[in-house]
Amino acid sequence: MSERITGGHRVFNRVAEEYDAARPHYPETLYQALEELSGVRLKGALVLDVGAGTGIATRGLLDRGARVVALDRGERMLAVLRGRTALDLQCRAVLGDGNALPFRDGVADLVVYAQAWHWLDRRASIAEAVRVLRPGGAVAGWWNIEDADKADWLAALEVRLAEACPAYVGPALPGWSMPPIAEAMAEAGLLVAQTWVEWTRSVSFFWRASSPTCARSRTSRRWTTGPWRSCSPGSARSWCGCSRTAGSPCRCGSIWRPDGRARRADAAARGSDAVADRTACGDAGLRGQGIRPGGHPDGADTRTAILAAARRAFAEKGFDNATIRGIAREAGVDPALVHHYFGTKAELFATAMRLPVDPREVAATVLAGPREEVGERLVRCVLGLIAEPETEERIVGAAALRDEQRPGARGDSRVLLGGGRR
Amino acid sequence: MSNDQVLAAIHEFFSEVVAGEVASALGIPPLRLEAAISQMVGIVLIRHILRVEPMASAQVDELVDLLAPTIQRYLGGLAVGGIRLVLASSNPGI
Repeated sequence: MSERITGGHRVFNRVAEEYDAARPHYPETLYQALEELSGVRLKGALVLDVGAGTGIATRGLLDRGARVVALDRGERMLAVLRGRTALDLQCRAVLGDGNALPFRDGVADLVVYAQAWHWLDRRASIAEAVRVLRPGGAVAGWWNIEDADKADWLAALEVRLAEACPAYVGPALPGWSMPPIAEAMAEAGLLVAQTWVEWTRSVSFFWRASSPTCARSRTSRRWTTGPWRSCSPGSARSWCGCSRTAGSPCRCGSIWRPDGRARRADAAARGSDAVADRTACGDAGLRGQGIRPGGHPDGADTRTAILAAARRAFAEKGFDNATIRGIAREAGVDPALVHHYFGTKAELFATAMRLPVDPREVAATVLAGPREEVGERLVRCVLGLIAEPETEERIVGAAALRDEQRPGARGDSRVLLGGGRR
Repeated sequence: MSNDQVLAAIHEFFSEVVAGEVASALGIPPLRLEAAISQMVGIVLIRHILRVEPMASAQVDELVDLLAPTIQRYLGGLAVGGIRLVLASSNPGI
């Protein structure tokens, strides 16, 4: 046996709690298939659950009326199992090795390896199972397998897992194969049957021990998806609320740049008129108000100046009392220019209160990274966005206006908070 | 603006600006998307408009830890796979 196999039980034993949270349970159809293929009714049967871990299969078997002896080499795994499982006459938890079962001959109806047999010696384990089985009993192994061919994102996940964790092998990667339990059984003179029990499950089930747990428990992160891409304690605090250093990947998946120049260059290259009007967040791609640069003789941005003056005026005076003339004076431009750029007062109001957010760039940011962390990126993005003084001012400003101050008819609300895409 | 207009505006902000393209890119069913949006609308309302404590002064990281798993549950896709069950017996009956 290789070192990996002999030391296998220690890998999961170190992270028993995370293992229990992250590993999926088995569906009813699995237990039905087990009964059908073995001819053994679980109700009342004595089942040895070898490599029981935290008892995921143990509890499934108990729920279906079996008496279960759960065996594992990991004391911490068994501690979790004992904590989670009602141990009574129907169930015993035993520290022991699947290659040398601590049981008498011919006592068990079933010996099962729930995603565990690959840790054992292929000959010794099956020989031991045969020894402790009663005549007519059966030995069974099963493995959860993602079908990466059926979902692109699953295939991509496999690739990321392999990149993050060099020792990882999985169903979508070359060189992966099912543990050869069927051959080992046949070599032991047993009659072998196989089946495939399909499932679909919500991704988050796999990742219940996802980001927050894993951020606290780097150990588990290391064996699930490799080291957490930490945001280094850095020189800046970004819109996503994440401290990081320039050029380093952020937890939200974006790359922070100190001045946002590269981002602006990108925008220009795309032929877009969206110009990031701030740096701290502009680099993260969430600024895109559609401001045209260079319209003002002294180089400042006329439109920006008008919009800023308009926001101040609307916030201080309300919609009715704010005037185009006053706003123009504040901005240092002719009132005709305000009309030229923004139309009526209601239209100016709508533009001024529009959130400086481009949906395409929000989407790009939220989608950049593993799908199993999309929830975290979305929450972080939204909280960061809303916490920007300018965004909050507009949301709260819009909310604070009384009905009579609100311009136009119904439907303006959608303009007020609509995105900045033009 | 009246309360329901404010809520409608915030809702619109999330469904069109924040979540719309994400949802279509990930193929998230409308009900799941709406469930995620409802959480975020609630947070913005409580935290930024009503400014209810302790939500209003909670740290971003703290809220991310708290909310992300829930949002993830709504937005997570479906994994497709199966269980390979291999079984053997000396009993010729199987």
